[in-house]
Amino acid sequence: MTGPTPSGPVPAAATPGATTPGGATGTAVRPAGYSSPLPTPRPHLGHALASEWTKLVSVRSTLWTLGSLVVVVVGIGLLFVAQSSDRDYIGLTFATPALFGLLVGQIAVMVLGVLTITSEHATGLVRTTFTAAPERHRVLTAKYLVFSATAFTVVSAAVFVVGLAGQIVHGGSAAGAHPANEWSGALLGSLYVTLLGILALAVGALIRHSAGAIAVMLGFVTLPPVIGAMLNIWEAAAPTGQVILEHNAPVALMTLFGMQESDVSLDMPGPGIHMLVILVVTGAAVIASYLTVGRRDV
Amino acid sequence: MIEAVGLTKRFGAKTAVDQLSFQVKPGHVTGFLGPNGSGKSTTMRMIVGLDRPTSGHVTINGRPFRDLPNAQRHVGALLDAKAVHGGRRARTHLLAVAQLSGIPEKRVDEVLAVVGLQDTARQRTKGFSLGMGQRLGIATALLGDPQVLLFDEPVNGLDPEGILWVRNLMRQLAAEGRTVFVSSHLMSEMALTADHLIVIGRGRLLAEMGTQEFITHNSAGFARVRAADTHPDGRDTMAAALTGAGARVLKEPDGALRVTGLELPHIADLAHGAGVRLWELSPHRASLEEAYMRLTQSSVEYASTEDPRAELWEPEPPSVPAWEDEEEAPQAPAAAFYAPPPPAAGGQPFLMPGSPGELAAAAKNHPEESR
Amino acid sequence: MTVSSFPGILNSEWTKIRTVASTTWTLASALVVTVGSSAALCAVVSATLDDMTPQERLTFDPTMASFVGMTFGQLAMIVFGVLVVGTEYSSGMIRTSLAAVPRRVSFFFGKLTVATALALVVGLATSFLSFFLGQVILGDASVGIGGDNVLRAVIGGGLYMAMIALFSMGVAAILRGSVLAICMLIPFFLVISNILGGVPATRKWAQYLPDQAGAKIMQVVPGGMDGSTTTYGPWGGFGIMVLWTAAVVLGGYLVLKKRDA
Repeated sequence: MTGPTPSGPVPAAATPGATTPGGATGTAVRPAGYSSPLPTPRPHLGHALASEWTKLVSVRSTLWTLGSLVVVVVGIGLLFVAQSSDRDYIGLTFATPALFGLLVGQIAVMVLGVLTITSEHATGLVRTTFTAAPERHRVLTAKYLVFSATAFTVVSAAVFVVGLAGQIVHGGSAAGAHPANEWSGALLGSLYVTLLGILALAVGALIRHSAGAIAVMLGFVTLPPVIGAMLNIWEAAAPTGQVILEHNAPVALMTLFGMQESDVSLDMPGPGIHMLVILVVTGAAVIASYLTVGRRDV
Repeated sequence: MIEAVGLTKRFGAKTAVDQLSFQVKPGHVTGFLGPNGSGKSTTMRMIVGLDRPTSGHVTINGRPFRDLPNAQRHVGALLDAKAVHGGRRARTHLLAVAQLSGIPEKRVDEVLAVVGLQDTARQRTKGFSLGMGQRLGIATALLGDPQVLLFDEPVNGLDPEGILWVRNLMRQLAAEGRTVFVSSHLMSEMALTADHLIVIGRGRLLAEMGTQEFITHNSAGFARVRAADTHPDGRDTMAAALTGAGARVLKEPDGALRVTGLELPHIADLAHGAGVRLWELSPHRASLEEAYMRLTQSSVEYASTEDPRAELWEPEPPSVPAWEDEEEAPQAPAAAFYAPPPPAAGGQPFLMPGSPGELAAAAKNHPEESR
Repeated sequence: MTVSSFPGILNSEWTKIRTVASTTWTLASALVVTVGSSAALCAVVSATLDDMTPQERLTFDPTMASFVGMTFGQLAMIVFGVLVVGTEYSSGMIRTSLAAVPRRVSFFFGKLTVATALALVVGLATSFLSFFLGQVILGDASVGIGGDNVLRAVIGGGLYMAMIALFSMGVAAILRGSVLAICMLIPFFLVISNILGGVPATRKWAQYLPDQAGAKIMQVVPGGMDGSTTTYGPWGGFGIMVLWTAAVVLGGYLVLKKRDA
């Protein structure tokens, strides 16, 4: 298929200089060549942690979720502290007022956990991330660590602010004996909420859709009491209903914060059982997230 | 150096990339051409390990991408300009990506300057135009100062100045000895940027060769011959002489002849021998567009019958010379031949449409002219 | 172009809605979860029928029993409704949509019409399936579709699902995003409304909440199952729900109209 070729093929690619570069941007690249002057450290988890920390603090949703968590926990907690008398604390710990805010505030922790990963999927940033760091487990681990540390710090700080306020205001003898180890329950409670957040992050990694993952997590914490109560009506299903009623997130939080003990229930599961349940559930979801994220096309 | 061997990707029953093998060598800008949906992006995603090939493999400097010890320092990629979190500022976005591989923070400011975003570095990317997004994406790719660069449609949404800038940047990066692999559907842009082409259609390799070679192999240039109007038989005499010499001759609507198969000097000699005065004897080269259209015509994934405009609008008569029917070129009055000849090589792409709908779809794809 | 006409908008919204994966997921799980958990509960009930006291037998509402799963299924409906509106914002599609349909009233109500119609179809399929499967399982205690008020209750189940979806769309439009809307709606319908409705002190106000009022349309035996009585009838309750929904949708429209996309 050759036509008349009087002057040879026109070098179509040979005329790029027909117009001159229009600005300073045209020639700004350093002549780096093959041997780049940049240092070449082997990337490690520390690098990924720094990156994830930058990501976490540079979006508004972090501020909104953690901010609302603190406002709700401290606000409701202090309100309770102000409204209660010393006597109310005979059966309760000083950190118990934080529980009411935390029952709502845990939603914020779960939302942040989900968004930590799903916002990358929603925007496509995950492709940039995984192109820059094909060792996806390094990125995922950094996400888990940065999120857990942040969430735990904020949650426990908010809880302890309420607890300290309770102790200062109602620390008199009328409040009864308060051994120092009652704070461990508050610490476990904060850990429990953090684990819910980690579970949310894992669910987000598996579902990759913000709204879907949040709906699943909200279902996880709100449905069991409803299902349990429903099953409890019918005798045949009552045992199952009772198990569900006793082992769910809100009940666990109440137990950890010393609310459940004041109830007359006979043998409610203790803090250890609740922590074990959430650890198993979260652990399974985290393992599943590692298995899928490394393998999946993104 | 990127090397793909038997690369295949299936999504369910659909084969997006089919037994693709090619090499992208350093020191060149290699263009990656193919109709929409031909598997360009999927191939690029497999190169950087985002998608796993169903079979086959692709290596970068001899190693699979995901085994590279410091991937970002070896490979930079712009796959999707919108792949940023809109709530994050441009500089923070780059910083987070840089930190992932321990790239120093000052490099972030360097690449921002390279792409000309230093003044908008502290804006949230939500407000970025597509062109600014492309620049940010290019900055991300350059962060690690890598040896291998991949750009998927880098000039989308850029203004003419930006397109020129990208073109120069690609060529400069290649001149520094890097491997530069650029996909685009803007043929004219590719013709100016790429030295080497890899053309695919329906996921299969159609051609892998130098840009010039590709044009010569896949297109027909022609000469336009216009006999003087003063002599009524001039054109027919000339046509007979040309046909006798073994050329293929088509008549254009305005009376000129379109000649293939003969060199210009030979045509001039024939005219002289036949005693025909010529008013025009001009070479017309095929564009990359034409070559590309010829090659990929059969492998266009989204055939133009799906063009919804066909349902809405009356098909307009094609505006390019109607010479597509080789055997019976339309006979038209030879009146207005002083008018400038229809834009040819490098001007309006010479499509060879089988139907007006096809023409409309093709024209829609390449509205820009770069020269 | 003809796209700006209302049928054109409906067509375009239909295309959008059926080409999004989340539509299939949410609607399918609304159906499966509702039918599945209703059937499971009916199986439990039918196993314990003999243990019922005469009083319980009298107020037992087989129709309502076969709709119990809607408590969970509505969760998926909420997500569907929220996503229909919310994804427009999160994907930036809203700018394209509003550019194509500058008249926001047409765009908004076109979208809501299509999504609600789809939710209604799926809701009706869910309630009929749930009803018939539940009655088969209930055996002796079952009622036929021809029984007093039964057909009203079954159709009402579909209407209720559609209203939940529409209510969620309105909330998502007011909040202009999916995440916040879901965080408000799911705890509200699953926890707050249930708690308020369960505590006698708040019950007289809680009966006017959208889901509590709307759910009355699925009841065949007045005061059956939960033993609560209300100041309104089935259609009255549904009317209350419609009023709530209309208010929320209006609010969503005003937000869309007033603010920049």
